Order: sequence, then structure tokens, then C-alpha cells
Amino acid sequence: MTTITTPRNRGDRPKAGRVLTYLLVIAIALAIAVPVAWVLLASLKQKGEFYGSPWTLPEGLHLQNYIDAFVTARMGQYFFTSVLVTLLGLVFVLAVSVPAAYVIARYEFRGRAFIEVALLAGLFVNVNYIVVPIFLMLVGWDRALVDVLPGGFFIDNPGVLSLVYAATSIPFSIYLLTAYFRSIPTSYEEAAALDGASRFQIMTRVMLPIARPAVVTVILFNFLAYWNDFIIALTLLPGEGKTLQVGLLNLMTAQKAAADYGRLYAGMVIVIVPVLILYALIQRRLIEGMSSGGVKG
Amino acid sequence: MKEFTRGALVVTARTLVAAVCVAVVVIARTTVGWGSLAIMLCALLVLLVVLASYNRRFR
Amino acid sequence: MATTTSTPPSDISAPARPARRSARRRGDGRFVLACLLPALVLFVLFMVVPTVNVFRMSFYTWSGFSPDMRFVGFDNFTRLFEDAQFVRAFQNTVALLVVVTVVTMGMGLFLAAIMTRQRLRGRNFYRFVLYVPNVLSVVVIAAIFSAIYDQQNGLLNGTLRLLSLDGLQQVWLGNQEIVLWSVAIAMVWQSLGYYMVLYMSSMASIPEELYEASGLDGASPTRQFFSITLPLIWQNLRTTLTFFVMSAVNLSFVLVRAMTGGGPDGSSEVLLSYMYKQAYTNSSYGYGMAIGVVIFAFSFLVSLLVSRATRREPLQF
Repeated sequence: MTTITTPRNRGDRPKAGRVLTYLLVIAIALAIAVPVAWVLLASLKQKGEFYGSPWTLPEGLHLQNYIDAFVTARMGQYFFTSVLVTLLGLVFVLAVSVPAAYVIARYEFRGRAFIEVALLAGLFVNVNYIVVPIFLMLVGWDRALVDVLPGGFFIDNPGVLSLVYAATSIPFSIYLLTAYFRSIPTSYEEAAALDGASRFQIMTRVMLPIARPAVVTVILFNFLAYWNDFIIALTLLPGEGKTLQVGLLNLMTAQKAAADYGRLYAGMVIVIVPVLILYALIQRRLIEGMSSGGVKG
Repeated sequence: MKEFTRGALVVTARTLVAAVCVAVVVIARTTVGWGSLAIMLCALLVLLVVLASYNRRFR
Repeated sequence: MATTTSTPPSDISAPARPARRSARRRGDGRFVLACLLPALVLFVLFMVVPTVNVFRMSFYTWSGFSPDMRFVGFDNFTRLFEDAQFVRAFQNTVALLVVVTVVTMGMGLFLAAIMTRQRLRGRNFYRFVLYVPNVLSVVVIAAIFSAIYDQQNGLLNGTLRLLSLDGLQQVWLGNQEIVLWSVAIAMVWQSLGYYMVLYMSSMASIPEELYEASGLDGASPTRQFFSITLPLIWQNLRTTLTFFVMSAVNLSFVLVRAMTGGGPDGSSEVLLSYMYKQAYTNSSYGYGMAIGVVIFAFSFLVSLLVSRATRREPLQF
């Protein structure tokens, strides 16, 4: 590509460019940081303080908002549902993806190429495209089982929700893990096999520890996906046991009707803070993992 | 010099076409109808063609 | 497709791709099956079957909870032609896709390039901040932007009042003309940092000597960007661009669902949210799935075209 090149004063220009760059980057960083910080501060305001200028600091620590959110709006209960669903989902996805990725990377078998292509195609199917048929399928199963389980089993079941989460992140997880397993030399397994280790032992005792970085990446990305999802949780848990995100969505709707800002902001903080803490702890890992995946759902 | 001018012209033309396409998409959205949807899809297609024409030299 | 993979442990110097096992052992088959089966069952049950069902159900009318399902052929699709709300949702989807992609990718590339080339101090800190929106959930982002756009007490209108620019105040989420662009800004806010950080990490691996050499030849920074940076991160750019189509369609849905509900009066409806609405609010699942087929076809086609238009021989450095 040709661009217009004019002679420049080389000593002068980079300096001006540098200042401009700093200004630009700082502006963007502020555009991201200010709204988040504003929410944190606003969660401490009393009802009256929300009228007037939005730039005032809270007058005191009005923690009643948090009590309202945790107890009255039941965010505390939703918090535990979210933790449960996320953890279960992670357990499920690792339990099925690691062995599958390992054999795809290491064994020759009929249909391997086909399975790989199918999983790759699965990367292009976003969960939100297929949430309606999943819901209808589960409703159908419940109807078929109505004699055995009149209360229904599949809808409103956090375990089923985490199973759906796990299933829909299988393509991504296997894709990442397979690539990593392939990059590990076979010499480890050969040595272990000579020592008489079984196939299962080789997979769990030898390969899994070596593949830890990839496993951690899978955990991180799936954690964020499960914790932050609300469409599937909204659809599959229509009853009382909601997840945190759906609870927050309800708070938003309630706020629109009643102008109860304090509770909403406190609810937002409850949702944001755990993720921010985790992110601060593992950000290097996350960003490294991201460049290895390159795929965003 | 001639080569240089030509290059600059091509760059300007591509940038211009891309900008026009984005503008067309934004403007066509304001009227609801299959006609404007078709226009928007055409603009999207032209954008992709511009991308492909930029990329052609690197194939 | 695949971008760079994570580096394996550094104490190994053996060749990198020894996927083949020399000898097949007895019982391999059973082990392979045991390892694969759970993943495949889940994948087929919750991804393949629902995807097939989207297409199958689009040929039926079904109100959901009654077992009465009637085959209607292409009726659902012909109904789409007369549905002005569907056209509008389609237009909004295309508009968001084009504008958000151009803005996010353009700004992301540009900012990543200058940040990498200028070697700013405190880069890690900026990187930390820029990536924050990506770990926040869409509901939180929707709530943040609802607070920013709030008519009376929002950050935006409040600031405009403070600066005595009352004339610029808007009902950001209530005005049919601008609501979609309010959503677009939230989309860019969410995804810009992710792509910046991604491109920065891939630009950081370009050897410095390349820039020094072309600098001696008198190449300007702009020229260096197009002749060195862009070609060397092209594969990365191509992957992200291909997948961005899908993630933009999806993100526009979740944001619209949480922020505006498609309103006011359907002016911010996008295809996926319209499908969702038809399925759950209107209980016409067959019709909803016909919309789903259109979304599938559209996003697949655009992804395919993007990946075709950007295909290159991989370049090593």
C-alpha cells in the first residue's frame, strides 16, 4: 500500500504524536473506568441523592442499599445459584472435553476427521441461536415424564442448566485442548507406557498436568461465559431459583417502574465485584489465553 | 511519480467507497422496507468487495 | 482458522506435531469410545439436534405447549415477506453489524498499532482497564448504559446540563431515531478493549528490526503500518473478523434484550430478539424458527464471504 510520504522533521513529530497517543489512550481508559467507578459510588447513595447532578459524591456510606439488594431482592440467594451452576458447568465441561480432546489429538480412529470438522462447525453455532429449540426439547421431555415426575425435572433445574452450558462450550474447549495436546511431544507418553502405565493413567497422570495452561484457559473462558450468561438462564430457570444475572435484570425492570436506583446499583456491584477481583488476580493468564484462542463466542 | 499518484488515487478511492457504503447503510436504515434492506445488503457486499480488492495483491 | 497456540513447556525441544502413535494397541478402540462418547452425546443432544430443529420447525406451525404441530411448508417464510417488523429487525441487524464492525475493528487496529509502536509507559495498566468491559456481563453493561442514558438523572444528560448544553439532551433510549446508535455505542464500548488487547499482543511479537530497517529506508509510520504490521497480523485479523460477525449479531441481541427490549415501538429490534419475541411472547414457534433460519443463513454467508475476501497465504516472520 502506497501512502503519501512527505519529508518530516524527525525529532519533532514523534514527540507530538506521543502526547496525542497518551491523551487518546487516557481518554479511552477513562471512558471505560468512569462509568464503572460511578456505579460503585452511586451504590452508596441515598434515594434523594440520585436527583440533581450525577457527579456528586455520596454523602455517606448508605449500606442499606446492599441489605435491600441481598435480602429483599434476594440477590444473596441468586448468588448461590450462580456459583452452583457455574461450578457444575465447569466440572461437566472438563470431565467430557479433556478425554475427548486427548483421544482426538493422539489416537487414530475411524471418523476422527469427521468429528473434528463437526466440532469446528460447532464453533459457529452460538447458543443464543438455538436456545428456543433447547427449551422446547426440555419441555417435551418434561411432558413425556409427567407420570413419573409430575413436578417436571428438566426445566427449572440448575443441574440441567449447567449441563446445557457445558454442552454448548464443548466445541471451543475441545478445539483449544486438542491444539495444546498436539503440541506436546509423544516422548512422555512413550516413557510412561514403557513403565506400564495404563491408557487412562497416561491421560490423567502424565498429559493432564502438562496441559495445565490450556486447561486453565478453558476454565477461565468458560467461567466468564457461564457466570455472565443470562439468556439461557432466563429461559431454562423461569421459576424462583434465578441466577444473579437474571436477578439483576429483574432489578432493572423494577427500577424503571419505581425509580429505586439504590437497590439496582447495589445489585450491580454485587454482580461486578467478584468478576473484577478474579480478573485482577488472573488478568495476565486471561490475556495470554485469549491470544491462543482468538475466538470469541 | 505516475506510479505514486496512481497508488494514492486507488487508496483514496477505496477509502471513499468504504465510507460511502457505511453512510448508505446508516441512511437506508431510516426507511423501513425491503427496498432499503436490499440497498443495505448491497452496501455490505460492496464493502466486502473493497476488502477483497485490497487483499488481492497479497494472495 | 487457528491462530497461534500456547507454547508448550520450554524444556522440550522435540518436533511439534507427533500426533500419530506408532503402534495400535489392543483395546484402543474401547478407550477411544469411552473418552469420546460423553462429549459427543452432549454435543449432539444440545447442539446438533437443536440446530437441526431450528430448520425443521420452520416448516411447521406450533403454538408450543399443545402437541398440535402442523406442517405448513414454506408458509412461515412467505409470511416473512409481509412482516414489516421483520424487515426492520433485519435492517437494524445489518446496520449494527456494519457500523460496529467498522468502528470496533478500525479503532482497535489503529489504537493497538500506536500503543505498540509508541511503547507507552504504563501499558500494562491501560491493558488492564481496556479489558474490563469484556469480563462484565451484558446485563451489567446494559444496566450501566441505562444509567448513563437515563433521561433525568443519567450521566450523559446530567453532564450536558452541567455544561449548560441543555439543547443537546436526548431521551437516548426513548427516541426512535437514535436508540439503535445508543445500543451501538454500548456494543463498541464492550468489545473495543478486547480486540485492542488481542491485536496488541499479536503486534508485540513482530520483531523490532523490521521497523528499524524500513525506518532507515525512510518509511513513514503509516506506511510501516500497512507494509509491516497489517500483513504480519493478518491471520489474526482474519480469524477475529470472521468470528466477529457472529458475535456482533449475538451481542446486539443480548444488549437489546437487556437494555431496550426492542423498543420503543420495535425501533431497536434485531433479528435474534425478534425471533425470541415471536417464540416466547407470541408463542408462534414455527414462525420464530423461520426467522432463526434467516439469521443462520445470513451470518453464515457473511462469515463465509469475509473469510473468502481476506484469505491469504500465511506470512512468517
